Amino acid sequence: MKRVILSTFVLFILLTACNRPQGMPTENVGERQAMPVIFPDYTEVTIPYNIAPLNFRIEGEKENVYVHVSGNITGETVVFEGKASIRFNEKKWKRLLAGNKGGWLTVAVYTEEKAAWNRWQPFRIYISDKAIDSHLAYRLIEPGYKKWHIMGLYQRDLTSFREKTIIRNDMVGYNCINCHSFCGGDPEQMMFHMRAANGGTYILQGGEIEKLYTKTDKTISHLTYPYWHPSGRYITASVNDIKQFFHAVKEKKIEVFDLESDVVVYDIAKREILSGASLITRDAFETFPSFSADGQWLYFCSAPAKKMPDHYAEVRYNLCRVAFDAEKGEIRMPVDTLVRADSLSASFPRISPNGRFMMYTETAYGQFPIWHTDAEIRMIDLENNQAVDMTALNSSDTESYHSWSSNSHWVVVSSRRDNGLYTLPYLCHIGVDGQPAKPFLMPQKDPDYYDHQLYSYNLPELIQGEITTSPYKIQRSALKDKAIPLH
Amino acid sequence: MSDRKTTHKRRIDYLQGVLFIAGSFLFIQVNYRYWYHFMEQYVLFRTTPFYFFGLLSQPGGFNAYLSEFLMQSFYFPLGAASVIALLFGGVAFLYYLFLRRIQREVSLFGALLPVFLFWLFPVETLAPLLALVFAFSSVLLYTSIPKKNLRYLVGILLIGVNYFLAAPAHLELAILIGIFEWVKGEKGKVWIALVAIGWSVLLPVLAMHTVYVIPLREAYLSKHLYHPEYPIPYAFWLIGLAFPVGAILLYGLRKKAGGGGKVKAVVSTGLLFVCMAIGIGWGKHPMEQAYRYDYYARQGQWQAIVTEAQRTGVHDKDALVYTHLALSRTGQFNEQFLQLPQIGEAGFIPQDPKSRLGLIEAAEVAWQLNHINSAQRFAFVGVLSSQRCIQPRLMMRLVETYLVNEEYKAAEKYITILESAPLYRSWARSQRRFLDPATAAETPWIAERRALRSVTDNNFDLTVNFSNALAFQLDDHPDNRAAFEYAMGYLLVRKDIPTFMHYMELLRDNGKAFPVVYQEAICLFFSTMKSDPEAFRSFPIDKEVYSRFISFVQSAQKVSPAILKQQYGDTYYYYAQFAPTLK
Repeated sequence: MKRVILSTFVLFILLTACNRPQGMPTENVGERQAMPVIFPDYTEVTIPYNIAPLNFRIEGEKENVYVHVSGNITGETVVFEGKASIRFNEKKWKRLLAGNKGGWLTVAVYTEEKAAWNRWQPFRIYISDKAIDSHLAYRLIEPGYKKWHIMGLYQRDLTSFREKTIIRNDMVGYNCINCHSFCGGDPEQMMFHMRAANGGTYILQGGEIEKLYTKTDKTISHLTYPYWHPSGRYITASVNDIKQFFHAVKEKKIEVFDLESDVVVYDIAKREILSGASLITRDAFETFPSFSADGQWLYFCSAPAKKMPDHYAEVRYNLCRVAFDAEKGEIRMPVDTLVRADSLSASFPRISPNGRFMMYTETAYGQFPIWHTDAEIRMIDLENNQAVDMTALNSSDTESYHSWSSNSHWVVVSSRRDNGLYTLPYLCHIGVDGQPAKPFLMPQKDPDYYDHQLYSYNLPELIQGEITTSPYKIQRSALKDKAIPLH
Repeated sequence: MSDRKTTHKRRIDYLQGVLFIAGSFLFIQVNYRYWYHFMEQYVLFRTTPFYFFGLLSQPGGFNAYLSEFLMQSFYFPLGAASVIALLFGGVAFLYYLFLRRIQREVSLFGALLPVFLFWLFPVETLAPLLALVFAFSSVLLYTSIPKKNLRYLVGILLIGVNYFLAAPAHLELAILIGIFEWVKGEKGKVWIALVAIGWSVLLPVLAMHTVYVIPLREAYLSKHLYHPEYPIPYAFWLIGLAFPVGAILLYGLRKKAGGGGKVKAVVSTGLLFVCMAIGIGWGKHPMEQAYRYDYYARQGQWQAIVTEAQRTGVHDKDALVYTHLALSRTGQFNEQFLQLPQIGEAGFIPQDPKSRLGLIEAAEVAWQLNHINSAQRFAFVGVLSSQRCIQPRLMMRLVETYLVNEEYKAAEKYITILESAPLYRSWARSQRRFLDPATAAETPWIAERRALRSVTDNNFDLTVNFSNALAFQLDDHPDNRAAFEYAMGYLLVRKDIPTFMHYMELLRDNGKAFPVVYQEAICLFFSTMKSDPEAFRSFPIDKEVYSRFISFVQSAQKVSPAILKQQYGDTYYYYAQFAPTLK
């Protein structure tokens, strides 16, 4: 009995010690006039109430760190401590966010340097009462230079730190896996391509996997950059003859361009490319198609064809749209030009699920902005055709791919702002009027994670739940199924 | 066995053990030292939780962690030989102890035989050796437990632990447990052996569907012993099975092994000695010279390459690329490149490289030519295409190229990674100061390279269109000494003298000195391709060079080829006239 009492006492002491910061500064605390420099930069950002803890580290040599987090609605203050970084307790974090939905957290940081304590200017984290889609699907791949090695598709639960494999190329012959796409963010309706070994387009729908051979006599390549019709029946995709070359000057690295490209619509039920819905022209490059949220419009990028690669820097893509009749599987002319490429080039048109905004990427030329440091996100309010100021979202480095959350309140954007080389996913709140808040980097359990990560987050796509199809099922399909040719 | 006999036998075992370790040390040091120096570049042991837990989350990851920790020693001159020899000894000794658990009358010599397979099939990492250490240590623990039920339970647990920490050690362990139970267990307990083996086979499948998402091969064998992208080498099966098969054979032969102790000892020691002498004398790595030069290059010992090349000749194209590079680095290119066995473009830079060595060489040559984007690209591809997607030496080159290109954030990314690696921490920290743009701009090596950066954009790949890429380099910076030497060397080797003369005119107009080989080519040009005495006189040709050329022309038809070669074999005009023209 004595042992039990003693053990309980020791356990109690230990638990108490864990909960109460013993070295908490109470006096002789210096006041710093600046906000602390933290990584990732979560100061003054707007976050969804269902996001995982925003763990961060304090830059510079710090011996101890205390953080007071208080919510403006609940008035509750929670203290967290760490050495150089802060890792929030997940339960406490969720309680803070749930209690202060629509309000904000005030974060006061105390740091100890050379036995002297400093209190930094507090910063706020605004908590939106709008949730973000629970999962983010992305490809992890080494950035560029023609060659690839290890890559895979993954899904990350944004409400926690769990990352799961969708499929990795070491399971299917070290091939190239690319261009994953979802029907309206539905995790049960997905497609992606594999190139080289076990090549094909894989469509996951209704728990089944279909492996397709999508090159036809009428198209210049396999299906390339895809987008689902909201009905789940069609997938529009470009067909491209893609080439690359390498620059010699420091301002540029790689150029990816098309020798030819067209846009087609694939009918999943009939397994055919719809002849009445294809944009196949010799005098123009069409690429990066997408459908509007209601499925009545087919958006795409188009540029007058030029001799490539001689004139690669002169190719500028307009943003266009054409009416699409989902009943008949046909497009209806004429083509509207929404953004004219007078001096800049547009790519990746993406319409918000509520149909109000069109987000796209703009760069000096071409359609592959990932290697263009000038590439930025732009947005048009389709109600009045006015451009929305996206300054808060952009950085001095590359912003390229983007995907909407199903409620139109959040986007994820690929950005190279952190190191200019590896693309990382930034989440950004979009207000009702389209105004972006300061974006924030997808949180990780270990704030140093991105320092050591040697993969880019390619094509981040917000999805509404977890993809339940087993990686082994996809692997079996890749290794055993024969690719079905299109009609 | 009497105490005297036992003592004698132990002495013999001791002697053979020491002999084997010493022989292994020499074998590695003489034949594989540079290969292991090279392999060190393909691991990057780090002191971060990211790295540790990343490895631990894979079957056999802890074994890989230990392997990569120990492989840091490969960086040092005696490191690989010392560590590998000791591991060979350790594996043999543990195996010997296991053999003694199943039969007392066994000699160390028998335990050494399977380890010899590592001499025949050298491994790129220490993971296979460490997996054996795990398996043997575990089976010794298992066999030390006298209580049956407890032993069985510990066996099942040990197979699990071996799987998660050191797969495929669990397979080896299960087989050894099976052998032990078959030999030593009670009658009718053979099923224990079957359970152990069955559990070891079932475990990876269970793990695949509960803990890991990995390919079947990786689930069983881990991806750390051999390159997961290539077929499993048969050496893997040979080595893995040699130990249990050896144990069974030795057990089967136990009754025939008695007697003749001294004779056996002498014969086995002699045999061991002879085998090792053969291995040390004739077991050289086929690409030893290339790896040796690569090591010198990495250490910045460029003159050592030149000296070695002069002493022993150049035997393969990788070594030739390094020798050209070394000549350029030491300012001896023009004087000596013609003495090398020229093979054309591939001797200057690897063609569209894909191999580990080729990508390093391409990055080195591009860096020397100050083609910064190419150096960066080849370094990057070298990093990403390596088995573990890391390559510290090329990461260092990436840091340098990003600093030169003023991409400070990208440079910092790699500096941070290298700072977490004990071997590279010091270098990485020393680079951090260059992240300050002002400091970088004032740093001579950075400033010099920035001054020679490409100005005119072009899409020529150095490893595919060497001459075009160099031409752009020279158009931008005719004062790029290395690029100029390489370009002229390339043109002269190709015997493209008209193009060469275009650059000679530039050189003349800029008042630069003319190396002897250029003067010889100019003499040849004006005597065979363009008769223009006035133009010829505009070039500063030394009297001696001219006189020797005239003498060559006069004697070319009169003396035998052998004499001609003896007298003029070191001249360009001899090369141009008699060496086969390369593509």
